[in-house]
Amino acid sequence: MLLLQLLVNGIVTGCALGVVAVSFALVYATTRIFHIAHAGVYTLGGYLAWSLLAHGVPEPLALLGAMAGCTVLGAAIQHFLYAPLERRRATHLIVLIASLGALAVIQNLIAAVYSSDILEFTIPWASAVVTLGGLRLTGAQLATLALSLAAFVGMLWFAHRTLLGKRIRAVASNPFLAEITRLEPRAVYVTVIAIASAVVCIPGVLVPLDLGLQPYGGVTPLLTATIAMIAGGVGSLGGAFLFAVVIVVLQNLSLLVMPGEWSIGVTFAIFVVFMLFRPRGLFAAG
Amino acid sequence: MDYFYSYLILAEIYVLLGLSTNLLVGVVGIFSVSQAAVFGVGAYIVSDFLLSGTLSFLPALAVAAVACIVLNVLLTLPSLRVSGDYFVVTSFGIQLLATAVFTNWTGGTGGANGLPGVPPPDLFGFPLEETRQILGFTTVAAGLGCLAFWLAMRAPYGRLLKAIREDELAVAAAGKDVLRAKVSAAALAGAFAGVAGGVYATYMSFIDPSSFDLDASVLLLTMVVVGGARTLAGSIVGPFVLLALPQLLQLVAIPTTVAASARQLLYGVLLIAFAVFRPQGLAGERL
Amino acid sequence: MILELAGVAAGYGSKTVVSDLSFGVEPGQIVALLGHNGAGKTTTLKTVMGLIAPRAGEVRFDGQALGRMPVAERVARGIRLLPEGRGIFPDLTVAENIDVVAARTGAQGAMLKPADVYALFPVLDERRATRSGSMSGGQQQMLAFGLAILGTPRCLMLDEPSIGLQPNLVERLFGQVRDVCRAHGMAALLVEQNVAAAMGLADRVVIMNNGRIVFEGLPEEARASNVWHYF
Repeated sequence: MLLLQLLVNGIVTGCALGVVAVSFALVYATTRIFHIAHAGVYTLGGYLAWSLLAHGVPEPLALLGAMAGCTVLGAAIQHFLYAPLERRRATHLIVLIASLGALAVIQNLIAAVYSSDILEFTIPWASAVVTLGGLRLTGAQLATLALSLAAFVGMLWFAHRTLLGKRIRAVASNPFLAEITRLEPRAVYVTVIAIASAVVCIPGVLVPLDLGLQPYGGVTPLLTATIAMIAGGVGSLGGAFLFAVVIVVLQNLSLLVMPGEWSIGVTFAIFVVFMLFRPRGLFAAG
Repeated sequence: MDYFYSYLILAEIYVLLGLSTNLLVGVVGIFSVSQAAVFGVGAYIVSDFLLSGTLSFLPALAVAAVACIVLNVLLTLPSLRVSGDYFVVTSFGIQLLATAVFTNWTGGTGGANGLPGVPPPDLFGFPLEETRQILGFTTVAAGLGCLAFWLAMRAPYGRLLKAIREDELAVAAAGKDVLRAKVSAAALAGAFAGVAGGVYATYMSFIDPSSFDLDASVLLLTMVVVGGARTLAGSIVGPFVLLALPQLLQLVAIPTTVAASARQLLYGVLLIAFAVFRPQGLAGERL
Repeated sequence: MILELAGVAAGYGSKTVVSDLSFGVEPGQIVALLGHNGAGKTTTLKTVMGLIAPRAGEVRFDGQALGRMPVAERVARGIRLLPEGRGIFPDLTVAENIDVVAARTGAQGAMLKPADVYALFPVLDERRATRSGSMSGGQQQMLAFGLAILGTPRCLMLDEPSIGLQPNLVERLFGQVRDVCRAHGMAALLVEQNVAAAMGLADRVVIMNNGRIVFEGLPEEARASNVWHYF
């Protein structure tokens, strides 16, 4: 029974991190920027929702408001940081450094405003427990599962069925041709980061319902998400989501044999195995 | 006066770390946020040997240097096999994993409580207990590190590394061993970090995981970015400037509760500002 | 003249690749731009497209100097480029390729709509749902040509369109280029290694060597003259 409970917990959290992975993968496949600051956008989402709730905003509106805030932040990072760097022909390394700088700024502004200690994020229905044949699921877990799956399916639908989604995939597939067929890659980059930021806000709000808010809490989820993206094969949104679930399930199952402090080791071991045997990932395109 | 000496000693230790990070980030050209982890391994190894009395300072320092050489080479190898972005993942992973080990492996590291009472450094049985003696020692150590870096950069080996950075494929096509050149740079970087760790632990006499966490790695990267890549001057200027900044922050009345985040915030701002406006840093070459 | 270059010089970094380029293309006309590797042909096309800024001289389109007009605006006015070897979005299906480009280049009264491209290349119609990168080289090049002419192209630049194609496919593709030019008054500027095929298609020939024009005239004049030592 413990095994089953850990499995279910892993799937729930895995779906949330799957959304982080899919949103990161969309940015990476399109812009080729390893958007480290995405971890900061994720973290900000939770804090914004917390503040809005504290000011009496109804829950769905708080989520939407937080998503709007994340969208603005993401678009601003592209417009005011990545785009000027591209115009200055900055090297890839410099873009990474700037992205890390943006993450440090976001995290520490949050810490300065809200304190660097863990902040409890409690909503009455979120801690209510539903029992399903011996399995215990909290309201937060049910919401996480439903919203994360919806976000994932929505992203796939958007990328393949809408004109904007196709345009984004076209830019990712051949940026040079996109430039000379008027797809305007630079405008697409802003759009992609804006959308990914709105989407990553969803797990950014849901995961802290369980674990609480912490200004530096975005780094580990982002690490898991990037490993999932690489293991799934860059360019495959489905692969990124699937592997996020697999990794988090393995992390949870590892609790049977070792304490939770070492779960980062499990995540990293999966990455090393892929680096050694299949560096292009399992579902790499092309 | 002691306060000023302490600043000099720490800055000199960080010069060694700056050289180490500069070798990886500037010279080999890989993104690293895990150099504090290697630094920490050096610090814990020396502390454990001295606290248990198994080895005296210099032999312990030598063991730490060798261990960190091996470790740094192992950590860098994946970056030479896969594309640059994957090394970002490796680097973050190593750092988070190292923090987990430092915090949770109580047997070797004292866990979150750290290791108190690390004996002061000694040279062939003469303990260096006075601050000025330690300053002399760190000055010699940092000076030797700078000399090694300077010699390596102007030797044919340094020119080979420069050529690799400019056109790796052409160098490989000319029959030069690119992998070996990069691995030896990583090895040198490991030695610097290991020695810095040992000296740091014995000077502070207390170490805990907070000195070797992700924030510390970001600080090291900031030192290289602010100082400037690939030059000796850059590797020296970075640590001296960055360690002086928190003192300036103290002049501004910032509540102590946010002092740590204010400091990290400043590093973030510096990373962004230098990346956008001055990628060559104060005294280096373009990254 | 739909397209006119007057004393254009261009290059990358500190290197000037082409200089003193002056020639023009009339509506409906096909001009072949020939020369060996490194003569500066692709650089010329990129300069017209706005991907590199000219260092001297002027590119005029439809009588108007283009200056630093952005690429997207040039595309909207009808300057098109079929790039060498990478003219499709390989991860998208055929239909997605066409839809996404048509949406950005083919406004209401477009000259060539998706239906026209499918009519020109029925095989693309059959393979609408196929991932374009998995098609044969010939089919990929048909799709690339189709993408390049969607909307209202007034001057199409083709960069080595025959590379990797069998001779009979080259003949068919060039025939379709000619048909579109004749039917819609579209001008074409053709960069080619396959000199024989290009001379067969072109109305005029411009030959470049080391970044300069060394010959301009009719194909028969080129055949008769002593320019062939440049190849």
